[in-house]
Amino acid sequence: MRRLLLSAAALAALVCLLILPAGAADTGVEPLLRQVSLTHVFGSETFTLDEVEFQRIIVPAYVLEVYDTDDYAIHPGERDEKVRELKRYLYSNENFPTNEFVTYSQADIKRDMVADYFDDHLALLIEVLYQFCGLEDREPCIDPLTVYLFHQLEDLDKDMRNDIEVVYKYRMIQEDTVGTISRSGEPDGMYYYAQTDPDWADKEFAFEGNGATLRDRGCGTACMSMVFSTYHMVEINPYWAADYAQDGNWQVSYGLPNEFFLGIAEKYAHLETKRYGTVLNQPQIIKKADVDMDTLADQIENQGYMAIIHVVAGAFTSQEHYMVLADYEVIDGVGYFLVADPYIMPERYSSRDQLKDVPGDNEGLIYATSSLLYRDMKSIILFAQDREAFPLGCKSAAPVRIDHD
Amino acid sequence: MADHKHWKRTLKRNTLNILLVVLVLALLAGVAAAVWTILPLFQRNHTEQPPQEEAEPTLEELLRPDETIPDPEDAEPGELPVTGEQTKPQAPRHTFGGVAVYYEDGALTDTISQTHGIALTLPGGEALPRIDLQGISGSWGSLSDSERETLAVGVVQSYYVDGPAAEQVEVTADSAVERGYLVTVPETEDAPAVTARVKFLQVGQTLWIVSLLETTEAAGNELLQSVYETAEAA
Repeated sequence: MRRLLLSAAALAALVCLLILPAGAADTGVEPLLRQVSLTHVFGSETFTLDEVEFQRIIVPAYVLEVYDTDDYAIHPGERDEKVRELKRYLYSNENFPTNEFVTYSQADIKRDMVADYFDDHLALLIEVLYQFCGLEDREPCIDPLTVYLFHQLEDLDKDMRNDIEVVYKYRMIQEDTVGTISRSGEPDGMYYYAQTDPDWADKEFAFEGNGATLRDRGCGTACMSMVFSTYHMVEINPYWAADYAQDGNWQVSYGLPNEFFLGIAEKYAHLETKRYGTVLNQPQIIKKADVDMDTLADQIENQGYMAIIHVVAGAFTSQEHYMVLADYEVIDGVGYFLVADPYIMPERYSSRDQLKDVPGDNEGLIYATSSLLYRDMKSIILFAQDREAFPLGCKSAAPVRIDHD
Repeated sequence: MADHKHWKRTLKRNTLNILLVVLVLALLAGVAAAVWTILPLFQRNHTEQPPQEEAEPTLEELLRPDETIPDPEDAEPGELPVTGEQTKPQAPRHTFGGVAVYYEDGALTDTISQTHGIALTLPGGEALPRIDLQGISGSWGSLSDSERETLAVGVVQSYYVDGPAAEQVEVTADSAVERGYLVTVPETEDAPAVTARVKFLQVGQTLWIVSLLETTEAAGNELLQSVYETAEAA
């Protein structure tokens, strides 16, 4: 009798388990709302940014009602596992193989110390997504609605994803927040790469079997990375640049010759033309005798040029060295170039009276006077194009619904 | 006293059996509830459903007006159904997919879209007032009363790029039509106050939406109200 009752109970339980989920999945109004798609009679399906019209992402009201909850909300400057989850999701090439929504410096496995940090770049990306979704009134945060919107991006038209990315990068330039994220989570203020960065410092970069690494001889690759990242608006780190240098057999005893920059610029001139419309023009090698520092200061400050300076033994190095001249400022009546030195060891500098520390925690940045730089200069590689010129254009032809594939 | 002790002993000895019986009864009740919930999915309303076709019609076929249905105005007097009393003249019938609507030729402009269904508007090109017809895959019978209201609200919200929140929208049952709702939305930043009538027609596995949208200020267009109220399953 007991066995019979047990068997009946087990059978009834099994039937319930099979029927109930199937019943639940077939009911509900959401699948029907998803199909309702009537002509938009009210509101605009586009928005305009600096005279360029972009197509909207339509977020149906029922989606907001389902996902716009206060279950949780993480704000810029905070740390949380949900930040790490979202950044890693957006960083993954599996999810977004043709988009750079989140970069190496924000979320790579080697940057775990910042992956859970809600940095300024992520906040701006969320703002841009809200802009496309008509949610400009929302403050950027990570909450159920934001996570839902990002996860739907994967299935949206690739042109729409590209439009979001272009507006994001454009706004980065407009708001002067371009660049890498430091290990503290704060923005570097430019694309900065150190040859001494532990992520790649020990990568082999030998010459004639001398066992050298990027730390020893990688100043050229680091400078190239800084300049290329700036003009292409994507993170290109020295690891990749070193591979090119070795493949092209560019190396010389002290590192790389000036001609390396001409070669790599030509090879990758159109690296991001398809994605962003950017083109990197050929730089010019200008010997010291032909350099006018006042002209150079004006070109860098007012025309957006960048230069890689080749210095000899002096205030910055005991051998030869490459550094980037990233900006020019007048501080307390004195003109200084903002120097991005890829070898982080400020204690080695001399002629300190002609140097000035840069506020912040990036020890690779230093202000240096024209006269000091000219004194130690051998030549410059001048990139004579505006580093803030970024074409703004829309690829999408029509609005898309966030809840449709 | 002896009986009482006997019952106590009986209960004590059969505790597990009693628990098992209770469990089985509870599980059977759960199964019954589940079946009751999903039973409507398997029901068919034979008065609304046309004979099953061997092949599913394509979207193009659904949207093409059905020319095989005779125009009542062209019919010979003898062909008209005998109802025992004089049949009033009807406006020409226009069929779009699973829905038949009645209006004089040229009285309305129809716009057929793969994405947005069929829009009926007054000649002149204005977007409002309008009637929209759209077929979606779904079952009226599977929805609860609140879900049906939610669907009616969702239909009106979908006219907006940024739809008003549900709490801004008023919805009530429309006593004038079966499966109909009256939906009103107050003025918003980029839209005037709106009055809509939404009804649903089940045609096989397709749930047809018929929605009449007007500004509240100009609500009550007689032609569109008539077309809306007389719209029926084809």
